[in-house]
Amino acid sequence: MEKTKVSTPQFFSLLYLSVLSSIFMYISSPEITISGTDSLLRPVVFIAVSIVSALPLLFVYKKLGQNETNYKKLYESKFGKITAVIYSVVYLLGIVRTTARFDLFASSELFPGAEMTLFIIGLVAVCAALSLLGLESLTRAGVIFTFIVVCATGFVMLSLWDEISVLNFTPLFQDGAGRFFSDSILFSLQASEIGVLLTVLPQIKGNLKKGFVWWAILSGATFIAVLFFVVGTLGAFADTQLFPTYTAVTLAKFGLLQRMDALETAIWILCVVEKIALYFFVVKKNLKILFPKVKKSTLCLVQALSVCAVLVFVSGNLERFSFISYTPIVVGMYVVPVILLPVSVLFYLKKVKKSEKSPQQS
Amino acid sequence: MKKALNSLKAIVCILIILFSFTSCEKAGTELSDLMIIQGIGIDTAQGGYKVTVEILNNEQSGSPSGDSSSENKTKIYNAEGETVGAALMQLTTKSGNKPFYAHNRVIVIGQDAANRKLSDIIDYFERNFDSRASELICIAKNTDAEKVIRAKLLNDTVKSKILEKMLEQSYKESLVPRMRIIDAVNAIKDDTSYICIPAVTVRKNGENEDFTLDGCALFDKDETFSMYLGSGDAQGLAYLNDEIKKGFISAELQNGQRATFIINKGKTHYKITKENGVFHYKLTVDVSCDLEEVGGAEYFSTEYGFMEELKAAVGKTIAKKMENTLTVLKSEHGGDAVHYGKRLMLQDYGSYETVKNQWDKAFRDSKTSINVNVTIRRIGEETFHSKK
Repeated sequence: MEKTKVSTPQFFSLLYLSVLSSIFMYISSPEITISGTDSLLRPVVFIAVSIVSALPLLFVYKKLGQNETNYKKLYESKFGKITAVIYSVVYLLGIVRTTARFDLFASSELFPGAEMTLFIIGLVAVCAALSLLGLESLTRAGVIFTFIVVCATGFVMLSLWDEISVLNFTPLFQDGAGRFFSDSILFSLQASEIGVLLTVLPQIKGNLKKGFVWWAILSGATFIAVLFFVVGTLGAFADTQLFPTYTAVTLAKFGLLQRMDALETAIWILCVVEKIALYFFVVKKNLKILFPKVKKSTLCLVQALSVCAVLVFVSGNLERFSFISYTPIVVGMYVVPVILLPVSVLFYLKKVKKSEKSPQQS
Repeated sequence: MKKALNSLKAIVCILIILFSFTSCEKAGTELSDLMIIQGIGIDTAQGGYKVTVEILNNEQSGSPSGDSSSENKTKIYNAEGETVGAALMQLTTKSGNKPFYAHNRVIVIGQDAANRKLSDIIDYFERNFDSRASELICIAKNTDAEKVIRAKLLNDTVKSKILEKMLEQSYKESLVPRMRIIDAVNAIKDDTSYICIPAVTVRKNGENEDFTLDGCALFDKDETFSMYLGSGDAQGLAYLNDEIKKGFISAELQNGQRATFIINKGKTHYKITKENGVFHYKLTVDVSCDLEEVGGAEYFSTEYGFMEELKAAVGKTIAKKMENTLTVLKSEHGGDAVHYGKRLMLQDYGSYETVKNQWDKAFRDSKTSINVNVTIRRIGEETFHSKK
């Protein structure tokens, strides 16, 4: 078990950066268009979906509390090992997806047409190394990065104020309320990082429920703010762009300061690094449950190598990227760690409790 | 040992940054190997398009002798292809360098090309990762885009930069609408709006030539050229489209003298009602301006009534401009370039849906009433208590 503990605000600032990377590198799709005013309401659904779907996780927290022995028992059980395998697979896929998306972003917007595979392998290596520093280091960096990201993004977005046109907005529920809700739920399922909570619960101190609700609200509010500027400045044009948030940022200028996309891109890389490092940390923790005698650094190396092998295969091929971004995979990556596994943990705990009671009764 | 290791890590990081992040293009590309495009002219050619580009003369800029007088600052190339993209890529065969669009300032569409579908022309710039979404578009009025790109201006300068400044400044002065790639795509995607693109002409000025902004070109919903709007009508568009930034207005007073005002800010408010199946647009324009000059007012500053006369004159002039523009837009070749349809969609989506398919008729049948509220902020050095 990890001895270090992190406070709730520290941990959720890390989770906030992680979820923010999704909106910064948001890829518009026919299923979820970004150009309408409905986009601004989707984060409200995101808040509701996140809170509701995290209930099983919060129940697990209620049952196990912050007692590390309880978690140790869970992890050491056969069920715990099966859970660890599933978590490892899900979050390894999460690393591949996030990195592949960044690869697409870098090779499309930062260095158009350039071969980014080596750069991406470097990024994976850096994140894997960072994950070895532990959760405390990641969350400490997360607090500082959150401050930088919020200030820089706020500044860039406000400098877009003059570019907003009321004509870029659309009537609410233009495609019907049904379409809005199905789109919004799909949009909300991007935040698979919520699932990491089960792995790091024993390391978080403080009021987790309060922290989580605040995280959901602040993330949703940030989404609304970012989407307001994207929709207001780009309108229908947003749907023609691969990375609409980036396109909106390229319009930003403040006095002599132009091309603020460079500043914003640097900031986004911080978010991506934090997200990937967090996922590496989670996978490493789960692998440690499965292979307790293997060194952490070896586990990290294995993770990094396996991720790189997949990335080399995916990099530079839009068809393969589309496959790992396929809606059922995205939904699965959310539902499995955030809902299914915590629910099954609850059932398992109930069963264990029952079996513990039975011998006493007999 | 630990200190040395940390220093080594820092050096490795710096080296990574040094060799991987510090350029617009991929590492290893020399600036002189790039065709840094400043302006693109698009004309028709047999079986496709002809592009004319103005590029920075990198050799001259990087000359060790620093001699900037021996060569021009820019070079002009042209090429042909079946599509705009193909023509642009053919440029490499002329210059030996790779086209680089990230610094392109303006896209000029020739008169013949304007008669083709607009989306065919701008699609390349919409998709190309190098191109910026804020590139400005203009039409070469009654001429080829090549003539605009090759114009012989008085000074050796980047012509596209001058053109870009003209278009930007004229937009800020509420003289012509602004048309960027974003605006063009949004207008094309709008089911009811016509597209208005600033028009440029090249005029003789002694032995040299000058650019002149000359109103704007109107494109119908099928994205084909429809008609030209004059400069006055283009100015009216700014008021109708709620795009009053700065600018000036000259108004006629009762005694026949003229007064000139500088506009500080303005805002157009819309209210749409439906009366007997006809849409009634009630426009209220709030304008704040400074009086710059006035003729024929001997003791003008002391009279409250005279200030009211000035305000009324400004209001009347603005309303007249707007009405004139609307009259032209409602003529045979005109259409909704003032986003009346889009505004109806935002305010009353149900009504919009019923008329969307016959919007041209609904627009022509629509009524507009204009009310202009003028605030005179300053009257210059002449005060209320000074004699002229």
